[in-house]
Amino acid sequence: MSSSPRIAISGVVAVLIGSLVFTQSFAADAVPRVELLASMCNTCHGTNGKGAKPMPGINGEETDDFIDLMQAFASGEESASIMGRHAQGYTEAELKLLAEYFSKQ
Amino acid sequence: MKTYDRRDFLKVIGAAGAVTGFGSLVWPMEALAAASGRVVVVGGGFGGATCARYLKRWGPKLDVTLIERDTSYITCPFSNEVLAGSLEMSDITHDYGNIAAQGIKVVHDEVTAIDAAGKSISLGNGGSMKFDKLVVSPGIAFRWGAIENDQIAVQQAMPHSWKAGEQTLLLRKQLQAMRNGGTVIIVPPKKPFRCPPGPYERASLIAHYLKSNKPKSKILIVDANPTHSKQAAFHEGWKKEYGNMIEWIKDTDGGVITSADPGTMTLRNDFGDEYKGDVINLIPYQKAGELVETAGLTNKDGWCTVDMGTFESAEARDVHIIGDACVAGAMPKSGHSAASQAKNCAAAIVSILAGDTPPEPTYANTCYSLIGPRYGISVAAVYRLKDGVIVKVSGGVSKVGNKDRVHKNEAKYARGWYKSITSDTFG
Repeated sequence: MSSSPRIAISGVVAVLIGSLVFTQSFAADAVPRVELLASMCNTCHGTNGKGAKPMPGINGEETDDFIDLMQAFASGEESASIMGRHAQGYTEAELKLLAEYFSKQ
Repeated sequence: MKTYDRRDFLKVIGAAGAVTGFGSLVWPMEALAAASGRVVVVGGGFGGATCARYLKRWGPKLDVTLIERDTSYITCPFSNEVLAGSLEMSDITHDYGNIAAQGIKVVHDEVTAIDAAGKSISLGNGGSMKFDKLVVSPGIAFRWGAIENDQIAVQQAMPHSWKAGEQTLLLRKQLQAMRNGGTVIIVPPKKPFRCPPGPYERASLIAHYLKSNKPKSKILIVDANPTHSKQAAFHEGWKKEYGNMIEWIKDTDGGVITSADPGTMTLRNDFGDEYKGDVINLIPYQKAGELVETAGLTNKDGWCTVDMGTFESAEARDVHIIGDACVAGAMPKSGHSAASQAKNCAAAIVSILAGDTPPEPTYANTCYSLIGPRYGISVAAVYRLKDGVIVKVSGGVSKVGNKDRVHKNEAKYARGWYKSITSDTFG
């Protein structure tokens, strides 16, 4: 590659960076881990967690409420059909990832 | 995780078309589009259809083709309700229209051969198709001859009804024609087999039908295994709902059937004892689907050994095998397991084709069984990959002694599960 088009592209990038607010660092996975984790929930809670009665939707849930409920299922404090058995399978960090993901769906 | 350096970033920007217009740049979703190549998925059940959909979701630029012999798919889940007369075939039949609408090429043809080295498959119409990655979700085939005369017996006299379709309706017709006071015999195959709780849910729902229509009848489960799925929860439910109508005979009590005589409707066990039935459901021993066996992708036990993280075959590079056909550690052979494996496989393929490492695998299974229309039980688990093997990290079966309300709810959730998984799989 000759140097001049590269400079030109860099110029565009500079403009672009100036015009957008990046909330993420320049590190991205082809498939972010949370996508795979969340896809496990979709099987019962519908694609993107949108629900299929009587399975509740889990999209748009407050992050703190999501984590609190999952932890209560895991400890048995909140009784559930199968959610206790599922909730115990995820770490707190994973629950946080899932909570943030579904809050935006 | 791939860290973008300046050059990669320029590539991403270029791919997003940012040079010609900023409006089209959506970050970071465009990074998902990095994977390119041709992925062919064979088999349109829970494994294959889910895999095709998630490949396209996570790799929108991928060229994804789904090849399935039939133009519609009849699910095994809830086919026991069709048997018992509470659902019709149309309730459990799904087509591929929504998958095609998602930009996946759907081809209805049979795959006759896999050339892994040449990265190509042969089709029943005489053509062939190249791939960068192949996913095969072939389901099960029957291991004929494990029980003498099994292949002849199941055709009319003793239907297996273990691949939902004509066989489901055949067994239903026989149940409806049976006299009050007749004996129904269910013969589960030796493990491993598709849907471990299936034969016992079947016994339950047939009992429900008989209880209100032919209450003097009896159901015998003549089982080649020492234990069965959700055993305590099933036995509790049977007693509560059906009294002594269902009797389970385990392997060492004479449960190992070795031959079938369709002419006299008789089964014989390894002790030489005979069981005579008015209706017999003979479920054959099982192995991975024919296609993978013909392609030389099965192990000595007839199943497919795979990398349990990516589901790549141990026998062929760039060929991934998911669902009932593969050996997946602690996961049962269920539609939910197949869908879960499909998503891990899709994530791995998209990552690899993008030059990235796949995300850490995670798997789940949920399986409800109906003891009656308002009596459900469940098994649920989360699995992870440990030292190359899928192991259970949480989960278990419904407790014995649950209140009626819990069973009623689990029956409702069973139906919700069906709605959700079929819409996640078929769109």
